[in-house]
Amino acid sequence: MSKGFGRHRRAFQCFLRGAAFFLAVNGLGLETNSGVAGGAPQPMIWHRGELGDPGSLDPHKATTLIESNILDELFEGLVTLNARGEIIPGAAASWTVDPTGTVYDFRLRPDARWSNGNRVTAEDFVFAFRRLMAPVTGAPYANILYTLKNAERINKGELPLEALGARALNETTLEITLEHPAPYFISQLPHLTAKPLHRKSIEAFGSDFVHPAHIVTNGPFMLEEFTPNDRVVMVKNPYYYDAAHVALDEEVFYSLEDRSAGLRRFMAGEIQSYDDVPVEQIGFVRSHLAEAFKVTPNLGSYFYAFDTRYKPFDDKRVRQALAMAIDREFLAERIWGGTMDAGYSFVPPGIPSYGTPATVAWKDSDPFEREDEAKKLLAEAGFGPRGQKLEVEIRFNNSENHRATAVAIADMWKVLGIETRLLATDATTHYAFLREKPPFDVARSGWFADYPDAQNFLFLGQSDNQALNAASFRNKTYDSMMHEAQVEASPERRRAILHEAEALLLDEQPYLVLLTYRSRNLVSPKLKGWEANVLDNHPGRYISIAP
Amino acid sequence: MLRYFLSRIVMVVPTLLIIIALAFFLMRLAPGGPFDSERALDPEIAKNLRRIYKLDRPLLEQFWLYLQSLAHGDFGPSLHWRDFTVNQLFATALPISVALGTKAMLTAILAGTALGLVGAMSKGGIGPRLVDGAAIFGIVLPVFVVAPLLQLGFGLTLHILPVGGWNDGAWQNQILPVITLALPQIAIVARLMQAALIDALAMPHIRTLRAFGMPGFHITLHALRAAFPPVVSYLGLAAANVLTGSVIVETIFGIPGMGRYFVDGALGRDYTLVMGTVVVVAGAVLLFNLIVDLVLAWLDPRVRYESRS
Amino acid sequence: MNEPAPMAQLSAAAGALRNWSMLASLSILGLIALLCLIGPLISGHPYDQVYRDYVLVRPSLFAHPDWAEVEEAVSAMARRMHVRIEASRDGEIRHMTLEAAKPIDPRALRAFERSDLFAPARIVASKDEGRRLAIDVPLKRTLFLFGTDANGRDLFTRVLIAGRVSLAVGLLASFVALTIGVAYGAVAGYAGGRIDSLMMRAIEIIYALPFIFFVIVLVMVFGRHFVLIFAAIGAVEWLDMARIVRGQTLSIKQRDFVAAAEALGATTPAILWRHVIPNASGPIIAYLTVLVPRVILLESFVSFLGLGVQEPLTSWGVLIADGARNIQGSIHLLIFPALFLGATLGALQTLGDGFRAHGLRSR
Repeated sequence: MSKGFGRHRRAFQCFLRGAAFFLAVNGLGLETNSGVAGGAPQPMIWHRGELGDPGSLDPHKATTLIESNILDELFEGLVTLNARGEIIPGAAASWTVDPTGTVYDFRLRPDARWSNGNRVTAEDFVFAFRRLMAPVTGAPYANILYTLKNAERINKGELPLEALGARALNETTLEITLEHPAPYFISQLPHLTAKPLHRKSIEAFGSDFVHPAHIVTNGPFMLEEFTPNDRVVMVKNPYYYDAAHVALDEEVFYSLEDRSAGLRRFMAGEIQSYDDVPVEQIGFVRSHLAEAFKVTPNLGSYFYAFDTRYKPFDDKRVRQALAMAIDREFLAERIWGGTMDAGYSFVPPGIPSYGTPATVAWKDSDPFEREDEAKKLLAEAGFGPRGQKLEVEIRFNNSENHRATAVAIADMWKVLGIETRLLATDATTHYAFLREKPPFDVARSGWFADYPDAQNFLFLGQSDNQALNAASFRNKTYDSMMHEAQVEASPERRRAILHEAEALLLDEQPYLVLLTYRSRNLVSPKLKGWEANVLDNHPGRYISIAP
Repeated sequence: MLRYFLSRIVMVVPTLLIIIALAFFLMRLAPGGPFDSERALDPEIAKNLRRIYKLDRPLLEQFWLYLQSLAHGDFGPSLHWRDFTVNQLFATALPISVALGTKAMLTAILAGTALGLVGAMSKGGIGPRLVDGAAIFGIVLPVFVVAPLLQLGFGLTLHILPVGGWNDGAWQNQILPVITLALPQIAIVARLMQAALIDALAMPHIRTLRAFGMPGFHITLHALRAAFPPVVSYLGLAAANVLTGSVIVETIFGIPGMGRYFVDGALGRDYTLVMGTVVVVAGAVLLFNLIVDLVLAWLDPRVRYESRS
Repeated sequence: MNEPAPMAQLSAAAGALRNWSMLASLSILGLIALLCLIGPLISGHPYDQVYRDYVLVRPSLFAHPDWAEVEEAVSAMARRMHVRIEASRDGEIRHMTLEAAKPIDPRALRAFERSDLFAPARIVASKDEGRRLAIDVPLKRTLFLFGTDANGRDLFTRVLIAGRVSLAVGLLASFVALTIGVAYGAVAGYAGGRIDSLMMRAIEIIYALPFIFFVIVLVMVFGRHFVLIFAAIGAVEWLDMARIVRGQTLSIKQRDFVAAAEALGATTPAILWRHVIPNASGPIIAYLTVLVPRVILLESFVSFLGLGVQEPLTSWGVLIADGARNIQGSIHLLIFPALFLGATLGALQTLGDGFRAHGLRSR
C-alpha cells in the first residue's frame, strides 16, 4: 500500500469518525461473532472461511478440497490426521500386516460411536467400502481405493460386491485384503473415500441420508445445517470418543469464492481463518497481516503439459529447451508473491516416504549457461535463427494467476526466438479440452496429492493413465518402472525405483515443471492449536479460541 | 384490451416451450460436461456416472424425459449440488433473491425518479449536472468495484455494517448488497426519467395546463405520468436482470441467492440447474413484460395493443 | 407543431456545436480517441513489453530506477552471479567492481544486458586473472506514468491500447444494438396486434436464453474472431432498446401528427423515420449513453470466457476487472482505466443531452 493512499484513508477516517460514533451509539454497531462479556459462557465457535462451495457431503460423491475438509470433521476413518498432518489411529486403535504385505487386520476401538450412540463396527466399514465400489453409487473417486482386492472389477460391474477384499471378522475386527502389496495403503486411509457409513440411516433414507435431519456421523462433529453457497454448520458430537478434548462447541464453514472479499471478512473479524489469499494482494497482506499470514509448502505441482504426440513437442530437445529458458524464481517470487516455490522436480518435496525428489539436471547451472544450452538444443531440432521459427500456443484456464504466469513465460521464451500466443478459456472448457485431447501445443495443468505418496504424482506419466496423462506421454521404460514400483513390497526398493522413474520423467520433460504449491492461510492469532502442515489439513478437534 | 391480455396469457405456454427447447439444445452444444473438473475422472467411472444421470441417452430422449419431469413440476437433481434437487436449491435461493431484488428495484425507482425529477425540473444550473455526474459514477463503476469499496468503507473503516455473509437475512447484512444492486439501476432510471420528463414537459397538454395556471405540483404529477412509459418499459427487463445479474454481488457478499446458480450452473455445465434457471428467468421475463404492458396501458389510456385497422 | 425531420434535426444539431459543453465533450472524446490511436506509438513502451525488474511499480512522474532500486538490483545480481559487487554512485554511469573466488565468466555480464535498469556493461579493467573486474554500467531510464501491472508492463500504454479495443467494441456493438433495437421496436409498436405480440415473444425468448452458452456456441460455430464480440454483445443488448422504443411508439402512434401524416398518405417507413423515431429520441439517446459503458464492461466477461480479446491485447473492461482485484494492494490498476472509461462516458452523455436538447428546442 502506498503512503499516499494511507494518508487519504486517514483523512477519510477522521471525516467519518463522528458519523460512525453517532451510528454506533444508536445501536447500529453489531456484534458479528466475538463473545460478549458477562452472563453465561459463550459457545466457542470457529468461523472458518474456505474457498469454494461443497457440492456434496456424501463421502462417496465428494471430490473437492472443501468437501474433504468438512467430511474430515464429520467422519473418521480407520486412521486420521493430527494437527500436524501426521497419521494417527482413528476409528481403529491398532492394526497388523501379514508378511506378504497384502492382508491388514484393523482392531477398532471399543469406544468408537456414531452420533446417535450406536457402536462403530467393522461391518460399517465393509458396508461403506462396498457402497463405494458399487457401480450404482457412481463414486467419482472410487479408483483411489482400487488398491483393495477386486475393487476395480467390482466397480466396473464384473464381480459381485461380496468379492471385495474387506470383511468383518467380528464386531471390532476388520480384515482388508489388497490387490498387491502397497506400502502407501495406510496413507490412503484418511482420504474421504475410506470413511465408514452408518448403514441403517442409508438404508432408511437412501441418498437423502446426507441431510442434516438424517445424517449419522462418527467424527468429532455432527452436521446441523448445510445451505449451498452460504455455510455448513457443525456442532460437537457428544458421542465422539475423544469428545472430552474437543474444545469447540461449533464449527462453521463459510464458502467464500471471492478471495478479496474473504480477505476483507477476515480483516473485519467475521471469520477467524481463511484458506486462501488473493495473490494480487500479497504485498498488502504481508505488510498489514504479517502475524496472521501463514505460507507453507503444500503437496501440489503446477506445470505445463506438452502435447508429446505431435511435432514439434514429440522432440525431447524442444521440450527441454523450453523448460530451461524459464526463470522459476521470478515466477514464484514476483508473479506469485512468494506463495509458490520454484519447481525443479515433478514430485513436490515433503513426502516422508519419498524423501528429496529427483531434480532436472540443469537445476544449479546459471541462467545464461541454460539459455545457451537451450538455444543449442533448439537449433539441433531445427529451430532458431538458421532454422524454422517456433510458434507456441499456451492454453490455460482463466482463473487465479494463470494469465500473469502465461504472460511471463511467453516473455521468457522470447529470448529463444519463440513466438507465443495465449489462449484463455473458462475452466470447464479447458478441462474438457484436456480430456478430449485434440492436438495442442502447451496446456496449463496441475496436480494435488490425493494422499502423500510419490506414485500419486508420477502416475501422470503412465501411458495407461488415459484420464490424467495430459501430455500423452508414452515411454515403455517408464511404464515398466511404474508397474514394478506398484507391486514392490519393500519401501526402500520402491523408493529407489520411483526416484529413477522421476529422473527419467524429468529428462524427457513431457511436463514442463514450473512451480510447487504452497498453502496460504490467514489465521487469527486467537485461534489456538492451528499448525501449518504440508497436507494443509486442520482438524477442528485440536482447535480452541482464545477470548 | 381484455382480449389482448387473454391472448397474451394463452401464449405463455408455447413461448416457454420454445425457450426450453432452444436452451436445452444450445446448452448441450457447449464443450465440456458436468463431470469435467481439474481432476479428470477415470473414463470408466465417468461413463458410469453419465449412465446414472441418463446423460448417455440420445439427446432427444433426454429432452423428452426432461419435459416429462418438468410437467410434474420436477426440475430434476442438480449435478453439482448432488445432495439437492434443483427444486430444493431454488426453494431457499429464490425467496432471498426476490427479497433483495425487490428492495433494490424499489430503491432504484424511488431514488432514480427523484434524481430524474431534480435534473429535469431545474432550469440549467447545478441540478442536471449533479444527476449526470451521479449517473456516470453509477454506470462506470461496475458492481465488482462498488461492492469492495462499500465493504472497505462501511465494514472495515467504519465498522457499522458486516462485510459479508447472509446471516439468515439479518437486515444489517442486506443493506450493502441492496445498495450495490440498486446503484446502477438508479443511474439508468434517473437518466431515462430525466430525458422522458424533459420531453413530457414540452408536450402540448402539459403546456396547456401550465397556461391555465395549474399549480406546479399538479403539473409535475401529469408530467411524471407522461414520462413513465419508457422507464416502465426498461424496468420490466431490468427486474429480470436483477435476478440473473446479481452473481457478482452474491459472490462478493456471500449471499446464497439465485444469481450464482445462473453463472455457476452454466460454467460448471450443471445441465439440470441451467434448465431450471432458464425456466425461472423465462417465467420472470414473461410475467414482468405482461405487467409492463398493463402498466403502460394504465399510464397512457391512448395506448392500444390491437393492430391499426 | 412542426415535427423535425431527421436531416433538419442533424443540421440543427450541427449548429448546437457552438454550445460550449458539447464542444468540450467532443474535444475530450477526440482527445481520448487520438491518445488511444497514437499514444501507444509514442509512449516509449510496447504494450506487451514485460519489465521483469519493474513489477507493480507505482505511478510516478519521475523516471526509474532510483538509487534504492539500483542497490537492490545490484545485490540481487551479486547473489546470482556468485560475486561481490561494489558500486559507486555518480551520475548516469555506474562504476562497479566485481570480485569472486574463481575467475569471472564474462558471460555473467549479460545479466546487465538483460536487466531493465542497466544498459550493457563494458569491462574497463580485469585484475587477478579475472577474479576482479572493473566495469562501466550506464543506467537505463524508464518512465512509468501510470505505473506497471502485475507482469511489469507499462499501464499507460496498456490503458491506451485497451481504449482502442473498448471504444471499438463499445461504439460498434452499441451501434448494432441501436440499429436493430430501434428498427425492431418501432416496427413492433407501430404495427401492433399480432405482429407486435409475436415480435415481443421473440424478444422474451432471446432474453431468457442463457447468455454464457449463447456466447460459447457462437465461438464454436463461427470460430474465434474479433467481430464476434460485437455480434454476441450487440445480439443481446438490443433487447432493452427494442422494448423501450416499442413502448414509446405505442403512445406516439396515437398522437395527432401521426394521424395527420397517415391522412396525407405518408408511407409507414416514412412515418416511422420522420415522426415516430425522432419523437422517441429522448429515451433512445438516454439509454444509448447507458448502453455504451455496459457493453464495454460486458466485454470483460466475454473475454473471461475466451471469446473476447486475448493477452497481450487488453480492454478497459479487463483492466478494470483486474484493478478491482487489486483494490487494497495497487489501486492505481483500477483508477486509471476507470478514469478513462468515466471521461469517455461523461463526454458521450453530455453530447447526447446536447443533441437531444437541441432537437427539442428546434421543434
